Amino acid sequence: MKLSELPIGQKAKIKKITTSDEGIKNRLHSLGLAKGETVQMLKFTLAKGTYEISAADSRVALRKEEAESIEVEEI
Amino acid sequence: MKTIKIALVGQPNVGKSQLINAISGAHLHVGNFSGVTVEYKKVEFDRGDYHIEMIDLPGLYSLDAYTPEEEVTKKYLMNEDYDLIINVVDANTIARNLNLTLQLCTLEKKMVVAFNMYDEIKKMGGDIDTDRFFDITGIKAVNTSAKEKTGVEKLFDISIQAYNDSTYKCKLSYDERIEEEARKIAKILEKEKFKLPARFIAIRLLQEDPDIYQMVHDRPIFLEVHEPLQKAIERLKIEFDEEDIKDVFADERVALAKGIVHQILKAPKKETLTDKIDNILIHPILGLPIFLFFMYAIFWLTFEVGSIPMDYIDTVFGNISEASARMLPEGFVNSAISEGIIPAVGAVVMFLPNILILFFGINILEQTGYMARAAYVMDGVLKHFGLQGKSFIPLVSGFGCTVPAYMAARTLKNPKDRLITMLVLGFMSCGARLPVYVLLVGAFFAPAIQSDVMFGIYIGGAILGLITAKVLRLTLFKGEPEPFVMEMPKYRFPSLKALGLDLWIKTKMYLKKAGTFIATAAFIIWFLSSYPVNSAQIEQFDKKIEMAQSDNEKSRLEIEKNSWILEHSYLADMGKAIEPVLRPIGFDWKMSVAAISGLAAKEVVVSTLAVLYHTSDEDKNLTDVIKKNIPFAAAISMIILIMIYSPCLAAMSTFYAEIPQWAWRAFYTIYPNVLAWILAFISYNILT
Repeated sequence: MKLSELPIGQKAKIKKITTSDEGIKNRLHSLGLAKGETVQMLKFTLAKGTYEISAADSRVALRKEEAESIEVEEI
Repeated sequence: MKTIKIALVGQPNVGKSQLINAISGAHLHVGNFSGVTVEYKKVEFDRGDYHIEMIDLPGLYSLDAYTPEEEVTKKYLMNEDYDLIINVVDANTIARNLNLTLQLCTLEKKMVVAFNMYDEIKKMGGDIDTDRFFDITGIKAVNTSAKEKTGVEKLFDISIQAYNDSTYKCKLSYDERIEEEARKIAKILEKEKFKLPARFIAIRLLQEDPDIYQMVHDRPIFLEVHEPLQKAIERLKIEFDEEDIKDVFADERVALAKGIVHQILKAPKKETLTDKIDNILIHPILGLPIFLFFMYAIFWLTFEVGSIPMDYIDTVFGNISEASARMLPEGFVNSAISEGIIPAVGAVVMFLPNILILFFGINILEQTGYMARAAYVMDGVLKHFGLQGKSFIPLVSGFGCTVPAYMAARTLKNPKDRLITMLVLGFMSCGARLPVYVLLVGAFFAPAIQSDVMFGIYIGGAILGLITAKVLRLTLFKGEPEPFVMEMPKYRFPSLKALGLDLWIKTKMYLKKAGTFIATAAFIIWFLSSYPVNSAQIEQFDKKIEMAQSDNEKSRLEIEKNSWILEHSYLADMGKAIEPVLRPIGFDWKMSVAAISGLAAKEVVVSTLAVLYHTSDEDKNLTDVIKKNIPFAAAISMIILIMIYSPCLAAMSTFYAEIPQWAWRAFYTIYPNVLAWILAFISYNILT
């Protein structure tokens, strides 16, 4: 499933990052969003346009497009 | 005395600036990196027999630079001469920070690590074993707290030790399969002389770093290394079962960092304050109103509190101007300084309190960590207009003054987002345009609806700005919406010392500009409006004034004389020359001159209109005179023009300083004026 589909509070493991944008991939990697890492959905805005997640030891805000490009597996 | 050059490197929000503030006996310099407007801080101080020169590089998440600021740091690290790296690591997020440490290691420069904000994890029962860290990595480390000023001196002790340690070696390495491929590539590269270590280049090449690839591409060795490199990358992809070589390295680094953290960190209890605050501040429904309240509060402070010292500054400059008029020998220099330069510089310095308050507010939002939340809250709205969450802060600041707003746009990392934001920023009517609106609205609208019209002007500007942003996004900045991925830092109490220091630096730079650029521009405008001098004519006026019976008569003649000079000045020539262009939107040459002079500063529009339309009492009579002399449709044209056309010279020069590309500078200089003209033309033709 996609990261964007996680309900609030749900933890999941990152399976794959599918974005073709190298820059954004690097940025996700350096914020601790890499394969095998555990993430947790913290919040999203009313329209589900922007998400806040926790990953490794930081909190990250990202948009729907980026959240959709991260494939996860619920744990 | 030996000089040690240190590069201070770390990810964003690790407290590097606070660390610098905690150094005693240091001299701080602020400057710009050549060619770009990224600011840097340099500190110099002595420790024992050593003179330490430390440069604070912009924060970067990894050597795979993503933002312009990160690019600056990467270039510095690769190309400049320095002796040692101090890598500042946030003790709260060690694993993520070590990703960067691992990459820095490959530069083969001496390095020490500061686990900063150690006090925060210590309080929660956590600890970091720096000896163990040294055993694993070969890098000396120290736990520091910039806030409590602990460990800072020790950091420089171990830096000096590392500087003198000839056996220094970073023991961190990638998986043996990667290292083996890197060794093969490095061996080929060693045939040619590079400034950077061969292993570093090899590892960057294997990660498909475009900068390094370009560097090698321009060398003869490229022909030899190209094929083995491609094969090595293919082999690694198969070996690690990944489609993208970047993932191989990223996974490796994450695994390595995790392994280290596991061995050196006694995990602190989880901090819950941030969660609690976030539950309120970025609540799905309450988040937006709370954000708007904060913005309103900053606004209110900027204008209400900021206006208090304004009169005082105005008086001081008035006195200086009078004094210089008295003290300097009469003539060109006297007039240029006391009538041209000093009042103009004063008019600019007058806004310093507003600017400082605005920046103070923005700094507090930033330092507490709220700014990231504001961007999160606003992102959804602004996305529809091709902007992003972070654009909101500069846009709001634009209602105060366009100059600091352009500077605030630096917080936008993405160059496209930043450029769009800056291009539409001028449509947020700044404080200096208020007097013009007050004058024209006061003259042409019934008192009952005046405030509504004023409100409409401001809202209209904001809406136009958003629409323009959308159009720019659809035309010149085509493509996918820019990604929005941002770290949400922990909430922290802001450091007053850091806030104060930042404001002091802002003040110094602002005053420096007022004294140099603004003074020069003011001089030019003054010159154009006072020359050429027809001395015969002036003598005649002076004679008449001398013979005048009453004070009233005298001041009337004085005004007549000044307006005669103005009407025959170079500025008037320019106004008449430009009149044909502005005639279709209802402007005569006087309005044209006022519009041009508004390019120097928007307040000047009012004073120019006052002089050109012969009046002594600016406040009351001017409204009537304007009403008599300017048709309604032309006045509306004027309001529209003032709303949209180029901001003042100070703002324009700030834009030029921030944006180095000539094409964008040219576009920025032309398009608002064209747009202003078209919209004014439409409204003028509808109304006549």
